[in-house]
Amino acid sequence: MKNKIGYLCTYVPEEIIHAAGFLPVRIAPSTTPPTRADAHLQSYTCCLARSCLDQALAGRLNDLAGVVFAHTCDTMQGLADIWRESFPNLFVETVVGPVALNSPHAQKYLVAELRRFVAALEQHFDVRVTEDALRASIRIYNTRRRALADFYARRAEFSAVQWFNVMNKALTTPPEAISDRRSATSNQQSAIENQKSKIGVVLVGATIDEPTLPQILDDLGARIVADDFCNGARYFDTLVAEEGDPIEAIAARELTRATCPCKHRALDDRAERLLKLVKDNRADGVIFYHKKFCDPHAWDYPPLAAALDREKIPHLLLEVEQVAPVGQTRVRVEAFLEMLSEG
Amino acid sequence: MSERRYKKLKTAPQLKKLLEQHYLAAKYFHLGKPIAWVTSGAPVEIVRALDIFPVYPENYGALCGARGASAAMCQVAEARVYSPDLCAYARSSVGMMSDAKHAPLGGLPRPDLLITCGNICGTVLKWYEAAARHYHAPLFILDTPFIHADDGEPTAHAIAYVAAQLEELIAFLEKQTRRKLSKEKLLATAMLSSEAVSLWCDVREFCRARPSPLNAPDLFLNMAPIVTLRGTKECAQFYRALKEEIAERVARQVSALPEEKYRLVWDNIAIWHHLYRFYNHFVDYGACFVTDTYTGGWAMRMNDQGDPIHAFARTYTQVFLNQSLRVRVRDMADLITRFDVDGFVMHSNRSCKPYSVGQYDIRRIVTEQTGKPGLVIEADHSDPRSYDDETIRARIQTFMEGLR
Repeated sequence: MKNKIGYLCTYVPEEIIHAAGFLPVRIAPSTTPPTRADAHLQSYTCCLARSCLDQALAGRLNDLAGVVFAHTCDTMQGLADIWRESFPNLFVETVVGPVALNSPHAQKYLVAELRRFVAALEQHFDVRVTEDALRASIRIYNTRRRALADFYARRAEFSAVQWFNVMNKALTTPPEAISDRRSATSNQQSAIENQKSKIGVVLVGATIDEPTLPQILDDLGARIVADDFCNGARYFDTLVAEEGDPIEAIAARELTRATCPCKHRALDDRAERLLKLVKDNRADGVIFYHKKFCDPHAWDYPPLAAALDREKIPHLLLEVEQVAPVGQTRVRVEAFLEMLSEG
Repeated sequence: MSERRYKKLKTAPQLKKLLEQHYLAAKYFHLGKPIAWVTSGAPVEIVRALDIFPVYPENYGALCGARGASAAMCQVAEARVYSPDLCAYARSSVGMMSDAKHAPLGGLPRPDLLITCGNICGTVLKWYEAAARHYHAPLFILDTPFIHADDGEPTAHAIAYVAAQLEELIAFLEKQTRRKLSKEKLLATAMLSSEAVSLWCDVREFCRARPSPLNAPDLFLNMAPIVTLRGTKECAQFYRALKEEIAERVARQVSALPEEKYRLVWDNIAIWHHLYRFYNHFVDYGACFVTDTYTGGWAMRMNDQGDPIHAFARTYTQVFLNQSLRVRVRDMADLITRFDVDGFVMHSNRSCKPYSVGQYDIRRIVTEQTGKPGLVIEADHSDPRSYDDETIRARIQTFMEGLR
């Protein structure tokens, strides 16, 4: 039996999938331009949607027993249904979480929706998701989140590419593989020289899926001091409570973790968090690393940029289709870093 | 703008007057009523019952498109670092916020309240957040969970969630207006709304006649009151007059087109910036859009069973843009059968991802199920900069020749 279930967004409750006996693995865009997906998705959809579907259509995700979506943006909403039509025998589900995270009724609704998801898994795969299994899975994933947070706290010892590798490996391997900082970085050959004197930047975006930008930052001697990626710090910044009802606890984490721009908690919470990341980590500037055609991040860019401007924090916007063009990205990042070092 | 090449409606001046009065009242004569900006899928009956004056930025976006003002307004927003890939309604609205002087009608009135309902798209959340930041107006988000179920039925917990938020919306509006919602007034408003919706459904159904009494642009223009004035006496009155006129057309077998040779279904929002020019390309072939998926979106009949709050919750959660691809396929196939059409045209609308993503699959499945061919046109509902008339004409020609 296939034992992996894929997901694209970290709002998908991996503990539940794990407790049902599956390994949740993140499906990430590849660096190959999509071809098969063009028959299903318009050219104005993001590479995350197009490349992931393309890999599935090319048969590269045949080892998955299912794909689970979380309700986020309009493109993902459509993609979930397209996926279901393309693979009628596959388990394809969407956990339709709340958008208004600040609603006093969001927790109750999400708990019921998560229970529906549990029932869907149980029915489709003829398994039982017990409370004990949920508790065990919560502990395992909390351990991994703590290990990543610990690694993050000491990221000054690592290069940007190492940071990228650790974060990207984390969401595609069994959770037990990363239980402490050492295991997080086990296959990272050499921790680079102490970089305290280097320029520090905060990266902001949906996901980061290929190492062009981290490589450029390393080459130019800059450090990533914090990030706001779905597959970065937003993934591990909040733990699931290990006491009480496990589904209630999973729901509570989804409502309190750092906000994705597809969701709403407060008008300015993303701006406040970004300013805090910059100040707490003494960053010199911010790089927005956006995917072309990603509406939610494009919408948040003007207010975030304005908040940074008010605090006189320099920032740079890089909009990437799928793979960041090396030459152009390098020129722009270099000019930005030069400006930071002069400031 | 090109001229229409089909029969003009006698009620057209009445429609024009109705909408002019609405915008005029919004701007100057709302008589002390607070102004709320609301999305097209928001439960406006509650807003009206509290004597709040609702204004529709989406309708204003369409108006900017139809008046050829969209590109300029979008550019204002783009200069303020809003991406040109975002919805053009929203972009022109953001442009209007910062440059009302140059906007059509001098811009929309400043909102006292903002009510956004996610049942039509994710964009309206971000758009209203931007408005809330700009105007410092309180924002209410009505979160209506998307329905992926094949049968289009929302889950019980989704309905309970929406109903609880509706109670909260009422409390929020009561606090903002310092008024108490009268249940009688809410029911009366809901009745007026249902009446107009019901009349609009009848008008749409009349187009099953051969020849069809209306073409798509008629449907697009005449849906405006159902969106912006739903729940008012004037709205119901207008649709009574419209229904009478269309009934008479059907009785006398009056055709919208000079000669109806082909019948088509339209999918997605209108191409407002080239309304007549675009549809005239089809009139050239004697092709009439006898129905569409868009203006039917507001033809939902209020479920009046039991508690009105639950009826609102169900009705507003089940709107078509909050439904899965399979429900969209089912609805399209149903229109094809009931309106006895020869094919369908889908507007792949850069500005509207929830409406457009999935269209390629819908086209394939609908054609498999019905045997009717479908054409996809790439354009935008209000930004003319991504409209290529030559390419579009060539595609229409190929499609229409295939129908012969």
